[in-house]
Amino acid sequence: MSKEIITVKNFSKSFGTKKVIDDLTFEVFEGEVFAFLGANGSGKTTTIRCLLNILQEDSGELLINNEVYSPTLSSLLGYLPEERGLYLTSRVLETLVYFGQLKGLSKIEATENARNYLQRVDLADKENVDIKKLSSGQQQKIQLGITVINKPKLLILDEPTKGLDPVNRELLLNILLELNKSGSTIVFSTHQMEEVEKIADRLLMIKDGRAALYGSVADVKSKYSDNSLYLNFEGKLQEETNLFNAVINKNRAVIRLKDGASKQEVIKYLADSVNVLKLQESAPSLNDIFIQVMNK
Amino acid sequence: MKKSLIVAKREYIKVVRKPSFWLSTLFFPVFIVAVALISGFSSVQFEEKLKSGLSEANKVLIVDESNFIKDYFFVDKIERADNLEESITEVVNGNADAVIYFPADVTSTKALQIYTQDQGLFLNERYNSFADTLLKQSILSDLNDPAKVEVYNSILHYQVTTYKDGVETNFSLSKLLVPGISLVLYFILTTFATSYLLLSVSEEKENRVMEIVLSAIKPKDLIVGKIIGLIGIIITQVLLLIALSIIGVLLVGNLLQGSTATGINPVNIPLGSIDIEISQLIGQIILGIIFTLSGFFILACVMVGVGAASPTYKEAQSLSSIFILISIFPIYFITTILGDPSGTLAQILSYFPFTASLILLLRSALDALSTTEAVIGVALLVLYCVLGVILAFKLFEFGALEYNKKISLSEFISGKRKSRKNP
Repeated sequence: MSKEIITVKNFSKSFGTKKVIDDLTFEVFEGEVFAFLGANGSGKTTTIRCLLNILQEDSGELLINNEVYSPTLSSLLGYLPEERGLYLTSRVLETLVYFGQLKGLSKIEATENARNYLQRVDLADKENVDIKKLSSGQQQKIQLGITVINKPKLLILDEPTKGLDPVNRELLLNILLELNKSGSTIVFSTHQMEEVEKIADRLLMIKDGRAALYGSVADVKSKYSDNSLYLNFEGKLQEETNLFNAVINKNRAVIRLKDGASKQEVIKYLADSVNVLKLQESAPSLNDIFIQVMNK
Repeated sequence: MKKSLIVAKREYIKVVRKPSFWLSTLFFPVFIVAVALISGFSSVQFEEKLKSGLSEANKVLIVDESNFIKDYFFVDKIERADNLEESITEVVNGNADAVIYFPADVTSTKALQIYTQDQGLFLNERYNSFADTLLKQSILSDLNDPAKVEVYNSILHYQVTTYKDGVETNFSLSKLLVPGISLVLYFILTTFATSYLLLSVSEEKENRVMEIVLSAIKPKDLIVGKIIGLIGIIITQVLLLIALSIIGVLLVGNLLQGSTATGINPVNIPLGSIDIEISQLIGQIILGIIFTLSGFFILACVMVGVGAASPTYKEAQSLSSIFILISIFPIYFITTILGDPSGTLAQILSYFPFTASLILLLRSALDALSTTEAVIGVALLVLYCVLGVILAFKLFEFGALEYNKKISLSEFISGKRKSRKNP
């Protein structure tokens, strides 16, 4: 198993009398893409802020690389907060270089990384433009650039695609995947479940300050699977056998497995009895799971 | 420290690159010099015109019913006349430039009458001084004692000897040099410099950049960096002001050079007359630095705190102006303080955090600060600076990420919202 890069143990945090996080424990492993989910006000941002030592936890332990975070670790980190902005009257390149230097890069390295990034996001011709003159989408690309300028080992992104159009969202997700392939661990919070399905390896869903779901995306989906198969077929299919019940509509059927029946047995039966054109395992979307968990 | 220097460099370049910095730095002194130049030049021109009133005249008639005016004054264009009405007619017709009438009862009325062509409000009085001189010199000549007349007409010089605590004091203008420079620096620092700091903190909060910044740099390093950048800006500003002052003084001096005949010499600085002891000079420099920097530092802490506690620059500006006003508040009582620099008001204001620096500087300039008071003053200022730093950091931790609301005093005191662990 990979090494833990984030360790959160028995973390609790209240604001006044309101308990926002209650005894939360989770880990993030090196090299994975970890999604942090929860409804608005569920404590995602608070957890991230406590992890980055911006806010103080009431109890528990929050570690990055086995240490309490301090800006001396900033060379390892890329952080994109939910409430984010830019120095609007500064120029694009100098802003990226400034943050690169704050994260421990030399001016030459920071300039090189900044130019490469601007090239990657089609903003190379804007390096000497004041940020306020950029469009909102372009400004968000600069914000992401600030986050990744130091090619961080750990990226923490609080709702990174908020406000992005579909094209730029796709671009951002691709950049994140590229960074992940090159070795960066990515932790991101989002409300967009398709993003989680697309890039996340594992997830944590918080409800009422506690972990409601935690594990790999596949495991979570499997846990919420309703044990059904979708079938396109030719031939005659029985509506009920000792293995399943089938709801048939023309040449399509939803096969609901009976208790004790395995998918392998059902698939073998179907292959023997009809001409199987397409067989798909049914699993609820993360969106459905999210709604289901939140409504519990 | 390295990160602080990166911040300092950015802060410096950010401000120095703004046209408003050059406008405020260059335009203000240029404006002052230009106004001084125009005003000085106009006054010299006016004075010359006033003095040339008589020399440009062709005929001035004197009607003397008082019989005070001596005959030997009636030479060249100054003529005696007997009839006032006829003389006035000559002025009206343009045959004479002026009539000066000395009435018989001048000893009781103490009033003279002058009739002349209208040349505007101020130039209409161009013969007043001549009439005055004519009368007084005529009366003086009755003394028949040229020595007394000479004394009367001479400019007297005064030698004042003063004592303090039984010892003769030796006051020299050169003693004001260091405190004077310190005062100018104090005003630049408290007005220009602190506003840059406020803008810088507020901008990061208002633009929502603060959280990204704080993930990469400790608040302490960030604020230290901002203050270093600010000091760089001030040094630039002061150097520019000094350069402009020298250019301005030389320019004004050259332009008014021709007017030395009038007795006006605006650039008569007796640099050779600096007669202050080295030990005293060093003491003044040390006190000047401590008082000036501590005053700036206390206000800088206020700006950091206010900037962090207010959600927008506009709100921060209104709040901070209260503290700036308190800091320069002693100016409203300057006459009282200068008149009695060791008085109760000066004493009280010497120990109040926001006014201490200015008052101690003023009292030091006036040689009205005892060693004991200076030591107490320095100790208190150091204490205020330490308290200022603690409060500023607390407010910064507390309010830097509160983007949408102002931090209330009660919330701050009760400490409801826990903040960052390691500032």
